[in-house]
Amino acid sequence: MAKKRRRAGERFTVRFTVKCSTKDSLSGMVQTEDQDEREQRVLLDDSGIGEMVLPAGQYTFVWAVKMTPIQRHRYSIKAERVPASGDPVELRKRPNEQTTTGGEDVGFDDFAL
Amino acid sequence: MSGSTILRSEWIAMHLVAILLLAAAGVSAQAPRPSGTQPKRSPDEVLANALAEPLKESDRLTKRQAQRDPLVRSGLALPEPQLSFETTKGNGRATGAIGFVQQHATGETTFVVSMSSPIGSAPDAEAHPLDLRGLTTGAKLSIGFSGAMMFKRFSVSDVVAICNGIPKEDCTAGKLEEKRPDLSDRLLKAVFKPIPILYGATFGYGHNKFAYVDGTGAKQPAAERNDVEAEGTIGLLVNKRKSLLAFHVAYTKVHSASPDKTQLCRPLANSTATRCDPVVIGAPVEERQAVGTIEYRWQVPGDLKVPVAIAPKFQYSFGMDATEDLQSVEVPVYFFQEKADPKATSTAPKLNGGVSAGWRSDDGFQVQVFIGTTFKLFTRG
Repeated sequence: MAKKRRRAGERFTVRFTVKCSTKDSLSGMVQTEDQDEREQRVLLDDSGIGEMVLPAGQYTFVWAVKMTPIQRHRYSIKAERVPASGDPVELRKRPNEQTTTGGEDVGFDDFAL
Repeated sequence: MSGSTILRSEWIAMHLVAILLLAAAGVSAQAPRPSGTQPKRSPDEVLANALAEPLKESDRLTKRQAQRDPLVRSGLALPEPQLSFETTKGNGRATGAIGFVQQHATGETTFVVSMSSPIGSAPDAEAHPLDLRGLTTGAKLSIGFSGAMMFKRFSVSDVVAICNGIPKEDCTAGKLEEKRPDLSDRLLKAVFKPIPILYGATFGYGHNKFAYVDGTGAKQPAAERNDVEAEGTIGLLVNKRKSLLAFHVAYTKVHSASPDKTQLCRPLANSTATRCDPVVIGAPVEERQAVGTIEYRWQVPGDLKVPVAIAPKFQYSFGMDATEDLQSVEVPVYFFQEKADPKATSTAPKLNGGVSAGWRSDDGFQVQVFIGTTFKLFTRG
């Protein structure tokens, strides 16, 4: 099946999702940087989801989360492209992350759009 | 208490509220705007609202004292407004609320405006909280904001540079905590503010009209009264963001119908029969409160089998309306268990609760056991 061609200037909705079964509350953010060092930031809502609209390119993203109660939490984070119709396309998934014993974590990864 | 003392107490209380409101507003206004941050609607950080349930004592003085009792309610739940454009109906009142979130580089701020008024029980009943003369009888307007400043401004390349030579899959603060605590700490310090700030304030204004008769049974012109409620909270996440130090002030001036009620019977014209109607004897009663609270929330560190947390709180209630100043200290100790494992056979909620010891300047020492209340460093909407 031929790959769908991307139009110049096309922008994509990217959704970041943090999942954790032991948290009471969550504060978090994701900051992206593209190949031209342009940065964007989005805060995660209480359910651990944040979305931003990005043009095609190579991205590095940093995430930070703070969860309560104060303890070590196991969690996953994923980035996915959300098309106007159809299922989201996974860009990056980190399924086995953990916070510090203080309930916080910072990490980074990359994806291509 | 003399009239001037009462006025001075109220003056001090109102200024405390005003200072906190201005401080919180300044915090919000000074927050830098991110370049290119995507606007997003989401529930806000922290902070829950502080007004608690009224108690049901019959004696008015006892009730007033009880409402000021820190053992009865916490004044330090941070405001937790709902992001919405919605209307609700319940308990005889209709409420409309509009809220929005402003994201900035370090966090976000939620603004909420809500208006409520009495409504009938019929399915098609309508409420009219506002008309050309202003708020209608029983209507209330509330304006509030809350937010948090949790994160620093930083560059992605700064974080990547900390992980130089370490595979990105292994370079997270959580995974490095035991092997490379220095790097773990650097990652956290690069992103989190050393002392995040949570803030919130609400202002409420209500209008009421009270019908009553005087002591002789003569009907008086309806008394129109305005209620005012203002409160503000600032919380600091200290001790490497593991503890909360919070300050809360609240001022309320509310009116209620006189408690002296009776059936007033009058002879009907041209008849020997009488007609009896329920009436209120006496003008409406004004109640004022000004309460300042300092609270510290701390969870005992370490992997304890049963986590323990402590949340000492000092509260000062300014004497108003011929009441004395009231001081109180409360030290609740929470023993709580982790959330039930969703994969476990039984997902029944586990016991949470604790013991609270307190002291009030009027009642002395109190000790109580509580069940079901969970410790939270802070809450989110």
